[in-house]
Amino acid sequence: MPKDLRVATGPAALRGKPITLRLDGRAIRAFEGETVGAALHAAGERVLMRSIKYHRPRGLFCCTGKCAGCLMRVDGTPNVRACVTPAHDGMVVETQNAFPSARRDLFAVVDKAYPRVLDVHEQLARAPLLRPIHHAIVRRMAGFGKLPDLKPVPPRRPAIRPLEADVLVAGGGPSGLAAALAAAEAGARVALVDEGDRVGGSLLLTSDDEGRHGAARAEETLQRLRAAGATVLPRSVVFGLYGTDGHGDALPAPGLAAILTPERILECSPRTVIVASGAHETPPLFPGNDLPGVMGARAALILLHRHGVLAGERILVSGESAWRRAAADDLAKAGAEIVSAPGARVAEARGGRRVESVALSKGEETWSEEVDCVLAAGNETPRVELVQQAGGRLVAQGWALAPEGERAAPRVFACGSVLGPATLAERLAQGARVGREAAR
Amino acid sequence: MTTPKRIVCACEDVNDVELREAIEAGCADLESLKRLTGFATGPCQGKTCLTLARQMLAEATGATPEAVGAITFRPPVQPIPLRYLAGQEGDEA
Repeated sequence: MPKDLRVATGPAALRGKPITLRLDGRAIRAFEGETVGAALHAAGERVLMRSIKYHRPRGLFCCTGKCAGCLMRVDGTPNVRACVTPAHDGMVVETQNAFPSARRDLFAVVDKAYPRVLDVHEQLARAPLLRPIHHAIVRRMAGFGKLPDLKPVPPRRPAIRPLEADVLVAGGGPSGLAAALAAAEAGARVALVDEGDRVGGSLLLTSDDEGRHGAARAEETLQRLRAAGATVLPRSVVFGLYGTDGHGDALPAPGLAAILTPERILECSPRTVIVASGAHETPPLFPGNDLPGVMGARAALILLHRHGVLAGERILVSGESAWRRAAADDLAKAGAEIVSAPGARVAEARGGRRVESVALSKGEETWSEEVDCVLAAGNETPRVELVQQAGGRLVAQGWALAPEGERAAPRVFACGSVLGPATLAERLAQGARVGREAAR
Repeated sequence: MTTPKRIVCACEDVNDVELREAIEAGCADLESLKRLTGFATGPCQGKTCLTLARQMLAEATGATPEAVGAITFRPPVQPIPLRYLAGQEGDEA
């Protein structure tokens, strides 16, 4: 029986009432307010899915709905991102793309049979009689889930509603909140769109004294924003910037923004767009880098500070990003054992269904540590999709690409960690500056 | 034990060996590398793998990250349940 990874302090005080989920038929205890991913991870269920081709075990990596490491069938709907889906009592959660289940998947033999590479497109390419049979088998073994348990209904034209705003802010982290507030106080009609159920982004992940400060700052800014008449849309996302009206006619920059809310799709033709979409964690590239238990350092902070759940019991923190120190300190304080290996490089993560040990090297020296979690605090990848759609130029930031600067494209601004690493004070100041400018 | 692969694109299970062989076979840009190996075509649409693939291409060809560039990010930039597009949520138009 794996240990429950929930901690008694911090967000535990805010834990909702106990609920029960079913995972492949087994009862899993959870709490209202947790995501499916956090609840399963806390209960020691690390394998949330199997990969498409090799049927390798996969689990939480980003905890922000970006990496597709936690796609599950939830209440009959396939490919639901468990890490951003709130759990409810009686929820039926099933693993997909595995036989009989992701925990013990017989198809995992593919991974062992092809330890180097499996290229299904080249297999039997010169055997025309066997090829259709081969394809049928491959299609059955691969794929992303099965059709939903819904009765087919005739499609209707979706009711897309207009959203009136002068300034549209994509992302409600520190810089997005600061930008929205500055624009609203300068008299602009502002709409702030954020994917989180709680708006605040990384402000919600700063710990202790600072932690209360971060969440309190987010709450205070939201109150001032609402008082200034701004529209705040949580659990929503700006999913595209379009340059034409759908009938081929070009729109003036920044074009038409499409927004998904839990209720419906909205369309908005703002005067300016502020892209404060932040960055997501880039996975490390060592053998076993996809094993359940290899996670982003920021993901571990989300589990800890939003759900009161430890990423693991014995954790190695690697990499050099700003999240490294916070993850190591906060997890140690919360009761996890942190393996310290300064200057060491992760050579390999090993395990069956989750990380069991990690091979380390430093110069000539090599050794191994038994851990159940490897946190990668590596480089981040700026979320530049909207800037690219607006025609903005992208410039190198390490191996990643970022917007050129605060003026990212015609009538499109960028601020915050989408432009690169910066301190909280810098991001707040930049957000306020960009917000004032966008409101002009 | 799970085999020690270095997975670059977790959605489509493309590892570094497959990408390197494709680059050596002549895929000198992201778009052809994507078409041959299928990397960046899964549910995350390149969010997790693109930076790693850009690094591999840049190191192999000597191009700068800017010159390697990016794939085209078309809307939707985040997954949207089809029922929203098929008018099954909210009111009828």
